[in-house]
Amino acid sequence: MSRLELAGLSLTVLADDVETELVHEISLSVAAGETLCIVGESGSGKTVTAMSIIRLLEFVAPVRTTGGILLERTDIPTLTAEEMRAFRTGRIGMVFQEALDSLNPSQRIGKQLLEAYSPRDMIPGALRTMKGQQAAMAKATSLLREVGLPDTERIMALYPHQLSGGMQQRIMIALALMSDPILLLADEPTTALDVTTQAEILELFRRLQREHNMSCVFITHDMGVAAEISDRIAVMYGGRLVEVGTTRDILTKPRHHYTRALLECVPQLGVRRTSGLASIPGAVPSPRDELLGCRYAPRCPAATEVCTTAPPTLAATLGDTTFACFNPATRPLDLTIAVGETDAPALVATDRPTLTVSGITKVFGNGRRTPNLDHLRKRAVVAVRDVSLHIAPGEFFGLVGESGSGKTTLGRMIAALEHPSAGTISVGDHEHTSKGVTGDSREFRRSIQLIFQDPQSSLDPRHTVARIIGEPLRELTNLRGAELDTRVASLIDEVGLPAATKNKLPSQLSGGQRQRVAIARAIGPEPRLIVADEPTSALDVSVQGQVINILLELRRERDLSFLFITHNLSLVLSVADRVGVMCKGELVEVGHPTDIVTNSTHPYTRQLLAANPDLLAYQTTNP
Amino acid sequence: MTAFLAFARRNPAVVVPAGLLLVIVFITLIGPFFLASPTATDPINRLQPPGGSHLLGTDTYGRDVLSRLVTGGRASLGMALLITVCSGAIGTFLGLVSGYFIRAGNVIMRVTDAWMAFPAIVLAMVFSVTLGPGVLTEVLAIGIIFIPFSARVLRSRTMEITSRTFVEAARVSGMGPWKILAVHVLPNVVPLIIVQTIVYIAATMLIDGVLSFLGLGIAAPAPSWGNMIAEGRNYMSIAPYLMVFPGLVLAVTVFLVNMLGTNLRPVFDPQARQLQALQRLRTHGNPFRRPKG
Repeated sequence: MSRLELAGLSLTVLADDVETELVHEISLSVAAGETLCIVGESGSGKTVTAMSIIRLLEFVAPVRTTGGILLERTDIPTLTAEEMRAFRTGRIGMVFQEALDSLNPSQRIGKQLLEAYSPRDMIPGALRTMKGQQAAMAKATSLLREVGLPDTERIMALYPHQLSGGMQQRIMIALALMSDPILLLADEPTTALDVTTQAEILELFRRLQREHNMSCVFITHDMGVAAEISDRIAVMYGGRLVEVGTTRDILTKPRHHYTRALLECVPQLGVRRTSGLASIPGAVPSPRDELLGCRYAPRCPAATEVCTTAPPTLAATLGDTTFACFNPATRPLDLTIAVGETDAPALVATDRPTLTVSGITKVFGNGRRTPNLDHLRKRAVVAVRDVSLHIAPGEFFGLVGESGSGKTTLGRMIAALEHPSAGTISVGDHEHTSKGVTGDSREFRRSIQLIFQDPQSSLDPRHTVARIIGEPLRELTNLRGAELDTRVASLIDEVGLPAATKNKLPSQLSGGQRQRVAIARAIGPEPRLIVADEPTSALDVSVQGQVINILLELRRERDLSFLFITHNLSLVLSVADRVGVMCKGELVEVGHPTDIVTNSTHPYTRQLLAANPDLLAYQTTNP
Repeated sequence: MTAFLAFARRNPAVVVPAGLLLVIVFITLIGPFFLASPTATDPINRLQPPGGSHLLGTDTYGRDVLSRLVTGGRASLGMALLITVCSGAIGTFLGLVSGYFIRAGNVIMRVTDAWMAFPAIVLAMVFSVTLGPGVLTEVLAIGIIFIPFSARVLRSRTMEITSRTFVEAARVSGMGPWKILAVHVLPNVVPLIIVQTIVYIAATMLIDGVLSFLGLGIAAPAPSWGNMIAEGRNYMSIAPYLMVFPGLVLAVTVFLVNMLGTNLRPVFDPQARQLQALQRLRTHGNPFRRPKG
């Protein structure tokens, strides 16, 4: 008998007087001691499904639930609010993505842990008694040790902001376990963490779940994470469940074409893809789109007529896998197919480099009072320490590092948004030092453009696409009037957007389309170098490939150089010509991707490589 | 027109007070052409109760209260609008500048801190007494109270917007700070400015009332709601309507303006809209919950 059972669960939400069905008839079961990963891209409905299990969704939106959610035979949607409160305690624990947002900033860790102590047989008010306090204290101490924070007394006296991101997430896990839940829900608990911390937290999840014999529903968008943590995987797309099976089957023999494409989109360590990444054409349908057939049909390469006329049901089985598809794939999945093994444009070493960075250092808050947001006397922080590098014309240089490694600060200095404290950055005839940019700053700006991480924030919500793309042209070139319009139109075309996009506002575009607009804006003034700071980390994997491919194509066509800043090791190692690894403000290693994968000697690089969730490694160990 | 109707159906809390306010403004604008002179005295018919030939009665000089109410509304409303627009413009400018240029902003904010430390009414009274009553005096006296408040609010919103990366993108595009303020920041703070202005109109009308009541506002015999209340005070026991009518009109107008300001916020601000929807959910229960059993 399974512990958690979703029986034909549908969720409808009322927003702005419109009913929208976010999740359609999902049936799933989780056995005791099992981890089920729900995998899907944004808008797939995975988070609302988890939220509805613990009935938190109704606090955020008016929601109608149909179908059953059975936890040990209790039908959760039928409980009243008070019954649910009592039921939740001791049965369901939840861990969210942002640990810092989930902890009360004004309470010490210890107090928050004690408050969460409520075993199922506890008499109300027991926490106020001496005995109850002691029991809670003992529980908190033992849990903190279990989650790998043995210094319990010190930790309990701290406030959440005094802990690192990884430690906060450990506290969140301890907090969820305070009432001995039989079901643990985790919504992207490691997404905000660095890879090395992520590996530790996943390991912790695995161990605790086994030791406490909990059932676990783990939500993630990252197939690599799913491979490491799950026993079974459920794949969601557009509010529908498309495929369920054991982790091994899903990762080696996926039947649904969406699962397959999703796995193929994930860049793999040691597989070079310099001429382009795999991607899924088009975009995820909105929950309001009414489609007669399969919701994946418009993007599916194997779609036939029946796919667009009738919805497939989750009934077909092959082996242990259940899937909703009329034409299931039969071949096993091969992730090692390399595309464009040769490095695209041959780099001539003798060429004068596009960018030369020599010995730059950036120190923030040099001990003086900073007239910044806070008026605190700041200690000097060295964000970037003595970094030198050069980028050749047409080179795709990848810069990897974890948060706080100084990679973004380095990018901002190169784009002249920040002045270095020491050292020189030279681009063509221009030099950028601590005194600013020498010569014509307009010329300098023309030669370096920037693409930002989050296209939601990097496009002015009140400007049309044409105005956004035209902005650098108007400021940096002499194009005006009809000439400007033609140029904008050709740029829109070049990044693969329909011509009608030009009069739209950013809010009317999807994430991938917005990032294309940002790319068009950056290439407008014909720069020689583009600094791209995590341009794909806010996007879904299926769209990530589309954006990377545009960048690669631009490089081929225009001999454009890229400084590609990212935390995604697999991605950068599969497409870049050279990769630099940053750690604590220093550039610790630079080399060809293949060399870095096979014989990197630097301990930090090795550590990153080991922590990187890897599907290929999973496939080779579980054939 | 259909777009307006759809908007009205979705936001009755905005359209109703706005419509009523328009009616009030319309009456004060055209009313004086149809009514007796608000300053014509008629000592024989002084202190007539409401009803009869004078619908709202007459005051101690025999002047028609209805006529004075309508004409006085013109002064009170016009004054409030003038003051809010002037102080709003200056406050917006200071807010934008201090939000974008951090160093200058710190200086401006220290000045506004000191400014706000003065008791507002005392400040306004000092102005009125030293400069003598008059329109310009009142604009200065009341406007000066609101400038620091509006600068503060605008500053924090400006800082929030400048932290978004599209402002950095504009910098990379080679745009100068003033142009960024005009092209990127200002259009994004307009909704806030509108909502703020409306709330300040209500506050201004109240302060204007107080100043007129103290005899520092619009000088007699020209009517304003404030000085009508002040004059009526002396006859409160024998002719309470002299105070009740202007007081009521002032209260209703301020209430409508406040209501408009509060309900307009969610129209512009999606975050406030979500909060409002959630509030409705908490108070009215979940319209969707699955029936038990």
